[in-house]
Amino acid sequence: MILNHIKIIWRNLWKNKLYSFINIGGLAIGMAVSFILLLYVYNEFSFDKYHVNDARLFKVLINQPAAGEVYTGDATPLQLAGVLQKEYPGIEKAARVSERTKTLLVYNHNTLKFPLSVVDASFLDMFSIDFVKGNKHHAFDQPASIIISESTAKALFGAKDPMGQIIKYDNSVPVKVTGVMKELPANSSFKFKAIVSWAFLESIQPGIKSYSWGNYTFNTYVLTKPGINLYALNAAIKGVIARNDPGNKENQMLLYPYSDWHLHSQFKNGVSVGGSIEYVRLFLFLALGILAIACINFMNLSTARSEKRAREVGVRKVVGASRLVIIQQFLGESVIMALFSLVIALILVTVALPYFNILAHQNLELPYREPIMWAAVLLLTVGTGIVAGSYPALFLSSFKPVRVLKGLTNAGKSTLRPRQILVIIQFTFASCLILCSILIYKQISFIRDKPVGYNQTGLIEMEEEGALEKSFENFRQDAINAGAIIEGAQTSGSLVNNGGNTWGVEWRGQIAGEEKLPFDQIVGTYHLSGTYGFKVLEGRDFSAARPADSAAIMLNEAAVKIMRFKEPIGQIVKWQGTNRTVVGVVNDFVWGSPYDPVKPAIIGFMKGWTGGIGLRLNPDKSISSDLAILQKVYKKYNPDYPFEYKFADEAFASKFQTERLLGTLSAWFTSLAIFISCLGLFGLASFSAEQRRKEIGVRKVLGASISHLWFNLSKEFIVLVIISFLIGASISFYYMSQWLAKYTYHTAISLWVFVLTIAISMVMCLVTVSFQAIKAAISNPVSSLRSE
Amino acid sequence: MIKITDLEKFYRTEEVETIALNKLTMEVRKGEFVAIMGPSGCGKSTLLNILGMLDDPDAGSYVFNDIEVAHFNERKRADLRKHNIGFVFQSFNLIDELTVFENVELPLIYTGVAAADRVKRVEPVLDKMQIMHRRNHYPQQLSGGQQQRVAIARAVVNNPKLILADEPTGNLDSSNGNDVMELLTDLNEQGTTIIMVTHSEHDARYSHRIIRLLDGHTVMENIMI
Repeated sequence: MILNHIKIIWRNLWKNKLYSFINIGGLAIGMAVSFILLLYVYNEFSFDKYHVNDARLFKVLINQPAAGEVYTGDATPLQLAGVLQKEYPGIEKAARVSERTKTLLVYNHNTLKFPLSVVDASFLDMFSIDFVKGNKHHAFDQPASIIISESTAKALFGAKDPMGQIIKYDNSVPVKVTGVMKELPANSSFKFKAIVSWAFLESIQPGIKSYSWGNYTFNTYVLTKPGINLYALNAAIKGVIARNDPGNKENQMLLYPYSDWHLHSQFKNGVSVGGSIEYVRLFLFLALGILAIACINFMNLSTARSEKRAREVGVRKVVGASRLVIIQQFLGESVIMALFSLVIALILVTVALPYFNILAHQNLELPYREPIMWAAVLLLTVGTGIVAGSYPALFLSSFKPVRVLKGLTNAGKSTLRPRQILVIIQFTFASCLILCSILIYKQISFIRDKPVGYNQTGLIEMEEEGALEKSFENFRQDAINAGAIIEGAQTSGSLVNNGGNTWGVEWRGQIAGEEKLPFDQIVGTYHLSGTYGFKVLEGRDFSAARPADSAAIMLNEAAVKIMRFKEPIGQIVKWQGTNRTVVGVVNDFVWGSPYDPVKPAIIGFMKGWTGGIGLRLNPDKSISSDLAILQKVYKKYNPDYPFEYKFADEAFASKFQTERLLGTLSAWFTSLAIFISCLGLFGLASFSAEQRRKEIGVRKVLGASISHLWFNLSKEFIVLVIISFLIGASISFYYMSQWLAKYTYHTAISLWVFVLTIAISMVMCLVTVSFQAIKAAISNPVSSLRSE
Repeated sequence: MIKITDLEKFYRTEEVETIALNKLTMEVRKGEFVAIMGPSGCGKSTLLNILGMLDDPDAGSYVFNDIEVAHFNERKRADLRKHNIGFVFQSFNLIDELTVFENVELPLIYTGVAAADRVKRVEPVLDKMQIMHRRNHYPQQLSGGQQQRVAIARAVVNNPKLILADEPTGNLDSSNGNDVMELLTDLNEQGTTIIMVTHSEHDARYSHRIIRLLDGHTVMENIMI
């Protein structure tokens, strides 16, 4: 019996090539898209869960109350790890981690930069770091040791055995390779390719030991003992800061499950309120939605075709098939078609995944070797087949053989209503997607086009490395003389990306409690405004001609406002423990998140606390020749360092990465969803046209024009699209208002967005339907009338 | 073999109630070849469908092989039908996607005959109907007469006790029609009971007995000699 069914299925598919193409193709595309999305979702959920001790690993967070709100951060004092490990029996181990920007490692003349972290030796016991060479428990016995990943080893040493070799850390300090570790998996939050020990950091930077309890810079991780109650432990360690650092006694510490941080890193008032999990949920919803659209297509087309199959069902019943057998046949048919789609879908995924990875900055792979994946995929496919085939199966099997064999069937008509509802569901989803995509794009461009308050074009930033810290002024002068740049300045870090802040700022007229207010802080030296192009509204920039400026600060407008200064210039403000004179007020330029209002900021002069360089390229020359000249000047000062820089405008654009990704993906998936829906509509329209052949013939004989017939055939679908739009628009209006409300600066949900959405849906619908409608309308009525 | 008493069947639409069978009583004995005739709308197809258990009567009694089947549910009727009754239609009703062999094989599949046995049983029937050489063709590739022979082959492959034929020659030219009637006569001579609905007096002459219907009841019976 099964063989007979398969035979019939195959012949049916072959005989109705267009229908099969639409049905299998639509389902395959839907499956491929949802597989890719599910892969992404799975990858996000699996993040950081690969550590053997996952259930016992925690990240230390600190809740800082200030001005009625609680800020939650993962930067912790240096001393915390030691205190936790020593004083709390529930904690087995604790480790500090300092993730560095790319660090220069030199072997012979091989100078390369790698992402590097500084960790306590206990880190190796807590997290799953797999050693390929060397002994995990003794790798950090000597401070001057380094553990490198396999790829790092290959890049530095080639085929040579790296163990015991000496590398120059930051091109100066010799360290010995004591271990080679496997690469971290792609779903790891840690991204380092080399690690050195905390003891090593202390040996090259002795000052670090004297950091105070109030200095929140490093991350702390904790491994609890098995079977520890997290609530009890969190209650016990809550006051650890108050006991050791009475000045900040209101700051509270808490342990947060390490692998939860990746998706739940947003906190409001000390409580986790989500994070990227929202995007993951959105993608999960998209995946299921697109699969649903494809299933609906399948159901729609199958039931629409029921009239053609009705006779077959009748014959089968007459020769002895029971209803159950018929249901089995049609379910089997849709399951087999789904399996067929699966094969195509897997091919599509294999082809499309690399592009998706580029698009979404991911590193996803199909886990071919995982039996679990095959089980899941097969289950999903068979499930899809059963869901998609259930309606046609139940519907077709209910036919009375007498009626269908006598041609009395009006099967097509009776299926119209459920089919209309399915089309409405499809187009509701499509309208939602169109509307959301437009609004996401609108929001991104709204934020992007908001003035940032300084000039990003022709501005580059680089790290202050090697000889540049001491000889910056010479370097700057050389580069200006060579014509590469017109201005340059040292800063504490990138102005585009940095987000350092401080509190404990004091000023005259301060109200009690305001000393806890957070201020953004930037350290800079001379030529800041000239380099970055922000405006000095009052007073002046730091000047080399005035030695007193080495104890000066500038404020932004927001800071002036919050300090309630009428005459800001000349005011004394206590910042970083010393009294400073305000010499200038600058406009509110965007420094941190472009989504938030500019926060009060202090630009302080402090030589020796610099780490970044900003350079304004010479606009009279091309960017490439500016950079070529600049590289020559740079190599004169730093011959061993690679010449690396970032364009400020590009770096700024990367702040929109999540939103841009969301925008790109939703645009893609919207197009795909529309495409699949239109495939289904095309199929339905062709059946509708076929069913109404006689009606069209009669109308034509009676004198109906082609345009009249076209309107007549398209009308029913246009009505469905309008209904779908109304439902879809209300749903997305509700959700998009909520999404936009999360942003302090957000775009309006304007009328034109809705107009555009319905226009897109209508045009897509008309184009799809018209092909069939016009074909039916121009056909010769004689042939259609004779067929009755 | 068949005994129906006071059989009634109505068709209702929203506004009109049509009486298709009006207290019809008749009997068919084992081995008979009966033709049912009458003008369009006299209820002969309805009668055939009820006899074939494709439809159920609204009132009256239908005894098939000493079993009262008028109140059987669909599953019971289907079960009785597939073991006892074969159908031949005016429009053949072959499945286009199956070959000649597969069409004939279908009833055996539904009664659970094993694949090897099916070949053994289908081939002689195809041979008898003289369509063996067409066994791998699809219905569209055959002439009308050949298609009807396939349909008859399908009707007899399960060795039914009763064959119901609904205007079996209606779509055929006279030569092919005569061939089909010869085949039915042969089957009847080998013991199969046949009830045939027809418009054609010529075809009716092949039967033993003609039952004439008008407005849902018997108006006359002719015994053929």
